[in-house]
Amino acid sequence: MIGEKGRGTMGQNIQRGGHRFEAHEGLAAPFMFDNVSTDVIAPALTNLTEGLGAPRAGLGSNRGATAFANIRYDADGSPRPDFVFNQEAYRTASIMIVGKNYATGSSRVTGVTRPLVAWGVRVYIGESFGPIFLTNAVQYGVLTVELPRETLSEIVEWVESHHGVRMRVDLERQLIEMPGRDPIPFETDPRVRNKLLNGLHDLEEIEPHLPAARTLREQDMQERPWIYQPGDGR
Amino acid sequence: MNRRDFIRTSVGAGLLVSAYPRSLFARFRAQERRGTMFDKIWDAHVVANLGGETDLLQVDRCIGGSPTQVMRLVREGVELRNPEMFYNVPDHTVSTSPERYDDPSLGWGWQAYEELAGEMRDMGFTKAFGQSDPRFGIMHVVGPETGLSQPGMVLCAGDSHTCTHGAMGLISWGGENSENILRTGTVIRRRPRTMRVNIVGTPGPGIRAKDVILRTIAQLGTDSGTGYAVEYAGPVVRALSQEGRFSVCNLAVEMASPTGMVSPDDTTYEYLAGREFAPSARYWDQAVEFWRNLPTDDDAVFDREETVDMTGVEPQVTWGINPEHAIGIGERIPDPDDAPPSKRATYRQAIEYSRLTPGEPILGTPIDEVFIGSCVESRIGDLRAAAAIVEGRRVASTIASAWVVPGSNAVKAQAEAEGLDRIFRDAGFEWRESGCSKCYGSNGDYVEPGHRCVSNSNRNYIGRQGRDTNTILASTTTVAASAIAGSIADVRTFL
Repeated sequence: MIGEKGRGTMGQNIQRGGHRFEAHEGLAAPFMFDNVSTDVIAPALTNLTEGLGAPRAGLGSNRGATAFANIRYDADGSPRPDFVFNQEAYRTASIMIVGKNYATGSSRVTGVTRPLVAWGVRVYIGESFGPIFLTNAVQYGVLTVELPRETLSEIVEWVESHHGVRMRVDLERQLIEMPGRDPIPFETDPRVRNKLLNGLHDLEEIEPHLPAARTLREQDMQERPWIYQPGDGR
Repeated sequence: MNRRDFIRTSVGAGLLVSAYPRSLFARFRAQERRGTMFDKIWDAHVVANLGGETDLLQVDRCIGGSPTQVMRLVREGVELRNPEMFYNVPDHTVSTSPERYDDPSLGWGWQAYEELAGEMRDMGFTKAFGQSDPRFGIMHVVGPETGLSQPGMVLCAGDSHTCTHGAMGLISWGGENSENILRTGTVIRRRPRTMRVNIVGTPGPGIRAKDVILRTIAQLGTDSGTGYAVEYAGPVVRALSQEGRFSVCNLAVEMASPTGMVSPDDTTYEYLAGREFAPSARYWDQAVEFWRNLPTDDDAVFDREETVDMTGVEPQVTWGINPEHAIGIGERIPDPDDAPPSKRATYRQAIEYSRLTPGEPILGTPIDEVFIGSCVESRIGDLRAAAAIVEGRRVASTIASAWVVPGSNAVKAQAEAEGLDRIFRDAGFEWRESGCSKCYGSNGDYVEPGHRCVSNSNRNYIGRQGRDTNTILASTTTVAASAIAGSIADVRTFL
């Protein structure tokens, strides 16, 4: 189960693909900034303060420890009270309510997505997401839900007035359930939904089409031979 | 006649007549594909539809940053498809110190890489370039520079700035799992919508491709490309050099589009001709004819069209914490209270983080460091332009660090052959080895805490170049001018 942030049990060897997601119940935390970059979410290890250990030390340890480090800690390594997960009400949250274009920027699967899984957030509810993060999240069994700003504001309002009350995000029924109010429906790409519900790996999806891929490439070798013999005959 | 001459003469005279049967062009001819360049290339690569808007696509090129994945798969006995499509350039973690070849402690796991890359080459993956390889450099400089990135391809990589390659007239994006591509030669992708950004007008003096794309992002927004593949078009883009087009496409991902593209033309073919992995003489004219069918047709319809007018636009610099926060060099730092309501929180955060005063001119703001490098503008033309600014001048004494990091070993060698390194050194710049360096800092090159750095790179997010650092994004020549001035400078006064 998810414990204190950065102390999740999933460490370095989180496999890519094949993660099942049906529903998740947990505390939610509002983090309503727009265009939060992966540079903020998962800073380059060398850009961390010495208080978090010498550069490179993070590589072999729990990556969740460095998530949001530059806005989570002061230069001396002490937690900053203005960072949401450092506040008592949200310390163990596993659902994040975010703004527009969340996790824009780098891809850095090992640097961003894995630490975030290790960090323990399983659901992101936001207005929109960075293009690469969307793909990566699916691969690691993390659900992203896109909702309009007004709906997000309603959710944040509920969260802020229901400290300690758990929210349930149900992918099967595509509902966000919050005790004391009507559930909020959401939509997901049918393929992504199916993939998460069944814990399918990309390779399982690709496998039946490999003969077709071979045929296309053989035809392509005739049509575009230069692609397959780069620099030959020079 | 070599290929470069061939293009200049026969293409220019309109004499390129096909000597090949039509069947060779089935993908783009017999099926009479029409529409946007994006749609034509995408459709030609579809292996199967996986439901809804998601397709399985054939991949033509894949770039990795470390050979360990290839090695692991090979050792597991996995049959890897199409080694010719895979190349490997460990650009992020390499040291850019002039001592990197002599001091094995520099960079991350360098010796291990050389060893693995050697094994990889023995297994047929011949395009693994270590730091001492003349073809080494930043992968988005190396791909086009070696001719590996060609029009009409689908190219994937892990790094988010893979959109750079789209300037060759191909579809590219970052963040992909190269293991699946190595195993299957394919990738699963949801089809994005298409957007054309028409860049028009008459750019004034001192305006470079970097200013064009910063202005575009400032106007449209840093999330404006969400869900779109963007084609940059219009007379301003057409007039750009191939290197300038790379700079424009490089920042496509900074407007949240995974893919940026420019239709190929003679500028593209001339750039490509004669490069090591470009189509060989045997196939060259066949390839050119194929590529001529790629550009967007006149009657093609995009899901969205935007226009950016460069007339009267000043050199651009950022003041805040994302690339959308770009203003003209003559403008004042915005007041969050005057910002649109939806942007106020971010503006306040930006003002607080950047330690700037709303209402003050950005011009003349003191700076501590400058950085010239990165996959945006570290090619030979960029270095020539910067050298022209600094020649005969001195970096201001208040500047703590002024680096020039060439985009590749080839760029570095060419610059040295032209004496550019001398010009930079004489002016007080440090002349470094190639790599990603201070743009991101994962190799240990970072901006000192508390410093403000004018940088020709692509990201100015909180902590991007180092903890508590402020990044001012600008063109290479604006960076060069600011280094001399010791503050954010107007490059036009240095021309």
